[in-house]
Amino acid sequence: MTASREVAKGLPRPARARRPANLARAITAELVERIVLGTYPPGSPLPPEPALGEAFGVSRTVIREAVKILQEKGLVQVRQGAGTIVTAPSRWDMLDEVVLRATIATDDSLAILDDLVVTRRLLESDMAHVAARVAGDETLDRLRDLVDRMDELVDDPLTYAEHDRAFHDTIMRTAGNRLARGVVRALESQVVNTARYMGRAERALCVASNQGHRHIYERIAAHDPEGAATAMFTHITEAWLVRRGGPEAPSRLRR
Amino acid sequence: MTAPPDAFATPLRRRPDRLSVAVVLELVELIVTGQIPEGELLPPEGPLSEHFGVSRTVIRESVKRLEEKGLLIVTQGRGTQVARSGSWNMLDPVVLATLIDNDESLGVLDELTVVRANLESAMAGTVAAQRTEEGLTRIAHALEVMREQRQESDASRQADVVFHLTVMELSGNRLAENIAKRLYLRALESNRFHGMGYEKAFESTVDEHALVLDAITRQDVAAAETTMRDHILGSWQRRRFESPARDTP
Repeated sequence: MTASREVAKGLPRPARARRPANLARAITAELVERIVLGTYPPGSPLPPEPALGEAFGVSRTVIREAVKILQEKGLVQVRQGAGTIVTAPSRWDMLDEVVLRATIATDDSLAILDDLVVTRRLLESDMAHVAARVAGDETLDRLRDLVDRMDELVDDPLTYAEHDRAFHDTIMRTAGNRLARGVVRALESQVVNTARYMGRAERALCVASNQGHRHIYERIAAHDPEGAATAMFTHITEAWLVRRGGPEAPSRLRR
Repeated sequence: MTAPPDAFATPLRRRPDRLSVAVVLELVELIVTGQIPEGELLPPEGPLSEHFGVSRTVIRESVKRLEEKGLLIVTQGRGTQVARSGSWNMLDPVVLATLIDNDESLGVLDELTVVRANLESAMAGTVAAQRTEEGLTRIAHALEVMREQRQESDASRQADVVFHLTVMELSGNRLAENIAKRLYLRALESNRFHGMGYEKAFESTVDEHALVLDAITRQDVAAAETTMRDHILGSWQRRRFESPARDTP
């Protein structure tokens, strides 16, 4: 059970959430979570519309709208005569915010976050590689300003985190691969509010993290693609390992 | 500033079913291809509903969908503005499909290939590191089917896809698999992704897959990564049409 759901149960539903479109979205989120949790396993049919409507206390129109959204996210397939069938997980749109959020929330191990770090690390290392080849003076100035500023912000984790994201984003924009940046941004957007991912906000962690940033900046400024890629790889790995904790050895993070 | 009127000059043919889907597709295309440039205001609901021949409710619902895709920003009092391309959700299925359909001017297949090469090479490395007999058999079988064909055919192309999807699946990285797979399958639907035939295309494809399988068999992680990367980038470079609009880095 996720924390947000626990909280949501105790609160009265805000009036605006009752508008049909928002209602459909709220029900979609609930259905996504049930599918991701395996309450409705892949290959099995979703309960029929009238039953769902009754269970949620909403009209069939709202249920139909919700099922349409599920279909767009790749979670169900509507088959003529066979009803609405839950699809195999490999067909789900994992980068969709609702799907990714539910996947992270329902994974008690750290496996999905490890995989997320691995994926992000691959793409960002390659983007640092490209950035080291193409970065001009303006980009280098911006990166250096951000690193210098972050040194001053180690006691202010929230503002530090904003600058941290700006630093990574500057490199991604410089590399110019819009799809790669899109993937990283989609992955990031669903974990910045996840306590297990963000870990404790501590001065020592900010200091260590910014040493990583400075090293990346220096390699990019030296137009050293291999060095920049390695620096990014090391930075993302180390920053995650200190936050990660967890009992099992992170074999998934091995290169 | 409003979008140039000519983009809305001719009324669209009316599609009675799934109106809002059609309107969303049309608006996404107008924005992604730059016919309504970044920062411009969208025409008001009235003219839009007239142009598309749909109710204002359908327009409102469609605008909301585009807002969710990061393509529009609705500001109280200032109207609806096309967002900067930096905040578009490039991975949204509709946005991605539109980008790929307009690859000739947008060059997105180059970017997609780089993302695939990064993810799939790492996944091939993981498969090599944790090689299993069953996994090896499945990959080898896909290659065998390609070989039996002797020349490019539907069956050989299908076996090619199976080869890649099997490596992704065996990697056990659900996220990387999911992302690479979705990008790959979407690209396969595009004619431009298949590009032009080149001499000895079939032979070199088979040979490159054989190198990947060989590296995985030997549990050589570095070689598995390199051969997969070289295969994906190399075969794209050989078959891609020149894209004058964008330089590839």
